[in-house]
Amino acid sequence: MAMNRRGFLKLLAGAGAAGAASVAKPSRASEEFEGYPDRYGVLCDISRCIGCRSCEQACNQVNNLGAPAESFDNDKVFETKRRTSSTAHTVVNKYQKENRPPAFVKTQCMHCDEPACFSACLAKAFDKTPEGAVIWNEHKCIGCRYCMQACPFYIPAYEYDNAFTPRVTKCTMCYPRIKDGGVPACVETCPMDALIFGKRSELITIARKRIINDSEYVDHIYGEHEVGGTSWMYISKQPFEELGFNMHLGTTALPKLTYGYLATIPVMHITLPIILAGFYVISKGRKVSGKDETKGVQK
Amino acid sequence: MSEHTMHTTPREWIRENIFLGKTVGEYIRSLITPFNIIAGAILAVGIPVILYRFLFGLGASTNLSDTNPWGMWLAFDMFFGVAVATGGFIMVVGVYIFGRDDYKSMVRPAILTGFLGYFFAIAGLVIDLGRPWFLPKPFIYFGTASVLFLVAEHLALYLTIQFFEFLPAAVEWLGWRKVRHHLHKIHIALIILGSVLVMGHQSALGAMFLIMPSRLHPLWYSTYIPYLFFASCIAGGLAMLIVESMISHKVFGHQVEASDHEKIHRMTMGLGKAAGYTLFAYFCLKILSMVHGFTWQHLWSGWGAWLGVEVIGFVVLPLWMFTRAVRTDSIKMVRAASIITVLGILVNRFNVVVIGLNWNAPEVYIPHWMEVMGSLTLVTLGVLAFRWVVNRMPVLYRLPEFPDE
Amino acid sequence: MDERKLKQKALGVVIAALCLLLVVVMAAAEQADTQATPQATPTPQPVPDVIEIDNMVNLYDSVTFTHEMHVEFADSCASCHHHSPAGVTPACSACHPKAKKVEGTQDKLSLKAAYHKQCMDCHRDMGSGPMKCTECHAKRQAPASSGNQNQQGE
Repeated sequence: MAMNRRGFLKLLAGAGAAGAASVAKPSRASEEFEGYPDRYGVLCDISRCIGCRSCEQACNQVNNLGAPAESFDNDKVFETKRRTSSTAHTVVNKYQKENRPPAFVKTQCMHCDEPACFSACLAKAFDKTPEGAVIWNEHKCIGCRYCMQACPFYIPAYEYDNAFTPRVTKCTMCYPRIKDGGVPACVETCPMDALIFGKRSELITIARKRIINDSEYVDHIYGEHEVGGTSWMYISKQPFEELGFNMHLGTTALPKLTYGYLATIPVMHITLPIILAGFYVISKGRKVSGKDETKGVQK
Repeated sequence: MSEHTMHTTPREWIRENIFLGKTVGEYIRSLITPFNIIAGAILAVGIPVILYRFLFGLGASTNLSDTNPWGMWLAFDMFFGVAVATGGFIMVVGVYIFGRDDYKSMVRPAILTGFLGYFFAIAGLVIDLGRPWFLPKPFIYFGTASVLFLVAEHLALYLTIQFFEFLPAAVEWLGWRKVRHHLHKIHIALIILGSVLVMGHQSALGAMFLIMPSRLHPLWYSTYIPYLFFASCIAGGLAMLIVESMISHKVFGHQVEASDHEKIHRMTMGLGKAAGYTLFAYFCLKILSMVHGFTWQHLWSGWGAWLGVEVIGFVVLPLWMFTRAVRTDSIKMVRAASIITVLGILVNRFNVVVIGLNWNAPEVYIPHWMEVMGSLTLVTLGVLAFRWVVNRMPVLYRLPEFPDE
Repeated sequence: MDERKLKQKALGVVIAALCLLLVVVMAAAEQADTQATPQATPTPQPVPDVIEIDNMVNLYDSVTFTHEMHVEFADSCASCHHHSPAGVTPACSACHPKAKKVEGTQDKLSLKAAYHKQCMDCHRDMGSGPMKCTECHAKRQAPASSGNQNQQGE
């Protein structure tokens, strides 16, 4: 087929359309966005937690998660390290070294400022609300489980045993409650104020006060800067590395790691067709002029 | 090979072109071959397994878990399948963009391999999804921040393009001249758009892992992972072309003229050379990615030894074999190297998607037998589809009434 | 899916109505409670034998607190009724907020946590006294939730 002017213009139009259609690049706004300023958070003070698991129980009840395999009074569960599951949005694990009192660490969705799950979802099934909660919408999910792989905290779980309506499950920060001015069920129920709920910025101030006023605290608020900052934060009197926290997550929000690559895609969509068309024209020219020995070599 | 005329009745046409000139009874009897018996046994178990997955859910049919949500159907069917189905793209660009007419006879089988490869890779993905009936959702809600969105969009578009690239062969078989003529006109545009899409989704499949630095082992995680995936998919596509051509010409040798065997030798050697170059590029990129990420220190560990096996055994070894084979003009060595390269792509994709991913989590994922069966079934269906098409449509040969463009 | 939502909505309405009733009852009780504000000049008050702490009814029943017994243990009233002038014995709820939501950067324990910390710190230091949940208050069979149920998939 000869590449005449009309054909070439058609090709350019196609390339332009392809470039415009490749919308996979971050908008400028998202790089400058500092986060919703009034977003809430939860401060978890590990030194106050007594491992009563009332938080697990409250979460279970408020979310209708069904009776657990072992009751919430049964301390046997502390023998293994548990993770969240489709019937447990939060779990408390026990860490004990000799000569030290046991530390109890509550695990749940960290409600990151720039969540990896939210960025990873190809159907926009997640939402980072102005209240700070990261919530999942059942009506958009195709069940690819990329969110589960993207989460650096291994939080989202899946209803594998549900054949027709399997859901991604995780803590919602009790979004319906906090939207109406309430507090998450776990915070409400905690008898030791190990969990407190308020504006994230104010919680950081409170955490810093506690650290300054009591030298036993480790001088670090976990979640203040990890993976770009999270709404759920921890302070502790024992070293975080010994309590199962990943200290190597860095401070870059995970979605930012994909922006560089995604930005190259529209460039490729626009330049490649032109480059390839150029090669085509050159190779056709060589054939016509007889320079190409492969012309007509085989049927 | 059937005699193809324009003036047959529908019944005659069906007998000639569907049943290969036999009566229905004869045709069914001719299907009883050892290969077909094995394939039939696989399907007899595999298709119920796939139905079981849809009726009883992923929990009942896989060993997927909350910590390891991706398993065999993704690692093997989707990631590996897509990586080695690039033969169509390579041939089409080589012949029509770069003008290498000496590979023309390989174009159609390559396009068919590519199309069926992508088709059954996507079938594997659909089986793995939690709610496959919601598959149109991303195309309504546009989660454009997600690399997986890019993959989905590109795969959908590219599969369509591959279908249209293959359509000329089917249309010639059906004898529809006008349609054939129109397809011919959009050929180059399809190829160029398709090439852009291939580079996009092959690299995007690697880029999916950029968001998981703490979950993918540092020896495999790198900001270069999209380029590593693209380079390896080219090597894999070339190797798969050589393997597919090797098998085709044994099984379908009767469709090919005797003189073509010489051409096949030359084309295979040419592809082998290209595969060697690509493997070399991949090897250099891999070294560079480890230097760039300061990850070579992890080489002195069990994981490092395993990476060594992957790179030395499945990249450096076939690279050396290709080089030697080209120098000694040994088609056997090229073919052996190609098989090792294809296996290497398999090992690499499994390392990135299943083995090296979540490497520091307490749980280890081992595929359920149903997952293995499901994958085997999809591969079998692909092979059977390939055979069905090649036995009927002008893929390995050309029809005289449709001149070559 | 819709059925589930409808059921949840109905359940939510019923529980909301019950909670409204509970809140009204608790508010009335609180009204009575806040009458006892700390005064500048202490007037001698009768020391109660037993106090029923029942304003935190959630997962557990109310606590029957043996006030008289603790008066014998304590060095002075101020060991428990802290941050007050000598002899003044405010109720815990006079200063510690019932609400769990933090407003501003004041780091004051909520009422529930104040109870638990005050009691359990001492029990831990003395090595005696109830420490386990049900040693102080019985577990509720059907716990009242003090707020709306969550609805998944909003």
